[in-house]
Formats: sequence, C-alpha cells, structure tokens
Amino acid sequence: MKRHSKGLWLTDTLFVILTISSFTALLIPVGRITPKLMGTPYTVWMGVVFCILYIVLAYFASTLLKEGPNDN
Amino acid sequence: MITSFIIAGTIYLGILIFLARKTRVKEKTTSNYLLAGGNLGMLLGLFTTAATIFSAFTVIGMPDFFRIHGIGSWIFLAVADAMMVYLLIRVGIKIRLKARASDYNGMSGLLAKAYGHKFVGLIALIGVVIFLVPYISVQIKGVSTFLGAAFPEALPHWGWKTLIVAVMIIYSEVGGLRAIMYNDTLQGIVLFVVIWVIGLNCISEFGSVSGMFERVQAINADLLSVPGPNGLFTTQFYIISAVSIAILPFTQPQISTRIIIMKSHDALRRMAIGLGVFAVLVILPTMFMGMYGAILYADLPRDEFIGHVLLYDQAPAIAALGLIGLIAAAISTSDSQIFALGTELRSLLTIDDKKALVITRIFIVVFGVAALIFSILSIEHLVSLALTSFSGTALLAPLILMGILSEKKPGLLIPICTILSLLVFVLSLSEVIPGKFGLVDIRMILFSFLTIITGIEILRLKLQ
Repeated sequence: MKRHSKGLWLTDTLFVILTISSFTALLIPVGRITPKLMGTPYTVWMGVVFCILYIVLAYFASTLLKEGPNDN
Repeated sequence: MITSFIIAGTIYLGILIFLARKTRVKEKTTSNYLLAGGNLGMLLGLFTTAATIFSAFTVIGMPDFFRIHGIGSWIFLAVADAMMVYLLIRVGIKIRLKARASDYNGMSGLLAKAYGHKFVGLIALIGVVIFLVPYISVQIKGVSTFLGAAFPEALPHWGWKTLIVAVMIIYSEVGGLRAIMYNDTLQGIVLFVVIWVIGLNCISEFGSVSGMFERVQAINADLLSVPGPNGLFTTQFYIISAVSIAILPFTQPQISTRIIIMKSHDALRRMAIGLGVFAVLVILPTMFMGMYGAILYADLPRDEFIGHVLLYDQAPAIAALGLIGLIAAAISTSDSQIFALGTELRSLLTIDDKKALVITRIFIVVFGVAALIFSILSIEHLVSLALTSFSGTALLAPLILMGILSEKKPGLLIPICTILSLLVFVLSLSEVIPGKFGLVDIRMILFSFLTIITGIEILRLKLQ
C-alpha cells in the first residue's frame, strides 16, 4: 500500500509538472513553426507528445490503483 | 446522394427502433430507467462516454475552428482531453466509490445530502440547466446546419431542429438510459470510421500531411502556430479551456453518471485510458479537415465550407454515411444531456418513485423544448458556445468535489460563493458587466476566486 502511495505521489507530481509545461513555450511557443517533424508544425507534433505523456501517466496511475481494497 | 441517404437513414432508424424496443423496461424505476441498472461494462462505458463528449461540436465545430484559428485548436481540445483522462482516473475512482456508497440517484441529490441542505442540490441543478441547455443546442444547431447544407430546399433550419429534438425526446422517453447508451455505441463507431475516411480524403488532396502543411504555410503561415491569425490562442485562453474541459467528468452530469454506474473500478480505469486514445484519434482528422478548408475554402462562410468538406467533395456513399453519423452523434449526445438533466431533477425529488419518474419524464420534454428554442435563437459559433457551457459548469467543480470528497460535512461558504460566481458569469455573458477586466478574463477571475475559497474551506475543516 505504501509503495502504491509513493507511486501515486510520483505520478501526481509528474502530472503537475506536465500541466504547468503545457502552458509554456515548450508546447505553445508564439509564432514558431519549426522544428518540424515529418513536415508537421512544432506545436502539432509536440501536442501529440504531450497527449501520449498524459495518457501513459494515467495508465501508470491506473495500474497503481488496480490492487486497491475497494475495487468493486 | 439522396438515395444513399435514404437507405442509410432507414437502416439507422430501424436500428434505433430495435434498440429502443429491446431495452424498453415495462416497470420503470429510477434504477433501471434513469441509471441503466448501474452495471456498465468497459466497452459500452467507453463508447457511451466518448459519444457523449465528441459529437456535432467535434465534427462540425472543430474543422471550422481549425480553418479559422489554425493548429492551436489541437492544443485547446486534444491536450485538455488528455489531462482529463488523468483526472478521471485519480478523482473519478474516489467519486464512484463515494457515490455508490450513498445510494446515488443524481449529483444534485448527492450534494444536497453531503451539505445537509436541499438548496445546495438546487444550485447544482440550476447551474447545469443554465449551461447544459446551450450545449445541447450546439448539437442541434450543428446537425441542422449540416442537413441544411445537404438538402437546402427540403426544410428550413428550424424545421430540421424540431425534427431532431422530436426524435431525441421520443427515443429517450421510450428506451431510457440503456437505449441511449446503445445508440451512443453505434454512433461512436460510425463517427470514428466516417471522420477518418473524410480526414484521409482531405490529406490525399495534397499528397501527404507534409504537403498539406506546406500549402497552408504558403497561404497563411499564422495558422501553423499560436496565437493563430486572430490571436485567440493566448496562454489565458488555454488555461481557461483546460480547466473547463479537464474537469468535465465531474461537472457535467451526463458524464459523471456514466462514471458512477460503471460496473467496477477496473472497468472505469480501462474506459478512461480508452477514452484518451479515442479523443486523440477523433480530433486528429478534424485538423486535416480544417487545414483542407484553410487551403481550398478559406473565405467561404461556415455552412458552405462544412457542406464542401463533409458532403460535396466526398463520394455519395461516404457523404450519406457522414450525414447519418452526424445525426446519430447529435442525437446521442443531446439525449444523454437532456436525460441527465432529468436525472438531476429526479435526485432532488423525495416523493414516491413512480410519481417522481412521471415528473422527470415531463421535464425531459421541457428541457428538450428549451434547447430547441435556444438553438433557434443562438447565433454564437459552435465551439465558443460549447466552451461557454464547459466554463459555466466548471464553476460548479469546487461545490461538487468538496461535497463528495470531503470527509467532514462542508459549510455553506462554497455554495454561496458558487451562486455568486454563476451570477457574475451569467451577467458577463449577458454583457451587463464586462467579460474582461483589463487583460484578465472574467472566467479566470472566477476560477481563481473559487480556488481560494476552496482552500479557505479546506483549512477551516482541518482546524475544526
């Protein structure tokens, strides 16, 4: 249980960091199109990367919650 | 195309009647009629939740939003939806547990119990009615626009709207929540297939994704970065939309009900992950459609652009299927929302179950008619209207989350501040007070205000 709490603390922290980063120039730089990835503008492919990171994080959190005592 | 549409339409209507008959329960109770027995599996849960979230607003609104404002639209919806998935897992499981332990009939009733005051439940009900009715009207308006473009001579816009609302109300009244959820599943699959076929057709026009973006860059490079050609996508806009969208599962009752009636935590977890993947995959082709419009139809009015991208530029069979997919999308989302409003009302009624259900069913019709009137009168852009609805219900988040998650009974500070915030937001929408103070949006001020108030209340409860 303790291991799960630590794991959830970690995923929550990463979620907060990712969320704050979502509102910075890392994801939404003003007026910037490059670097492109396979011809796709920066904000589009970086947006896909962010989406994947959020979903992967959600998946890890869900596996940590899987063995909870109230799964009914 | 008319022949293909009639064939596809007849099949769709046949399936609707079949589902309504199959799921119809003779002895209607709150549990089996409004809450579908409370035993929702992962797959049905995924499609019904996805179909409730992604619909006409996504298929019609988003391509147009991409066309006008550029690729920043991708961040506004896709990234916010991905955030939502994490919160759905972390907070949704707790909410499901608490709600199921409290004999859940609807969020408003649950809040009335949690706060020990019926008027708190009434605040939640009024809040969702005020902000869900415009959202329902988004769906009705979206699909009538599309039908108007497909058959310009057949019916006026209000005629299509009335027809859609009539089908929606009859279907909901007959089948209940289970029928709605089966329709959602059908709609989700059709929508997913159609939107990808059309999206890929749009790319093939330019040879590749890279070729498409090159053409857009040559025409209007501002479309390929933020803040976009109209300066819409500021950090403030993104914060407001992310907050409003990421907490949708807790603030919009048609989604929270689905979370709570999931069969198990495990089903909820898998549904949430599936929802994230579904969201990304559904929004992506709307970007291709929008970029296609930005290149070929930059100066056309919205209705004409939609007509081209979804109908005239597609093979007749695809266009007909797209039309059916869109009608299904609008109907399934709107009936879920109207039904959810009925469920919320039901949860506040403390009379005999049979009588309460009769009142609820009458009000489902009333809510449907209200949405119809709003869709006829409203002239706002589809996405803006949806975002207004999301932001409005987001103001209820502290009230809902505190009521459900707090171990101790919360006081009336949050309910009172929520009423004030709702009032201020409605006044700003009516332009009685400004929507911005300097550079700061009123929603940003209200979100911050409610966050501070929630912090104070948490502190107060800890010190008790």
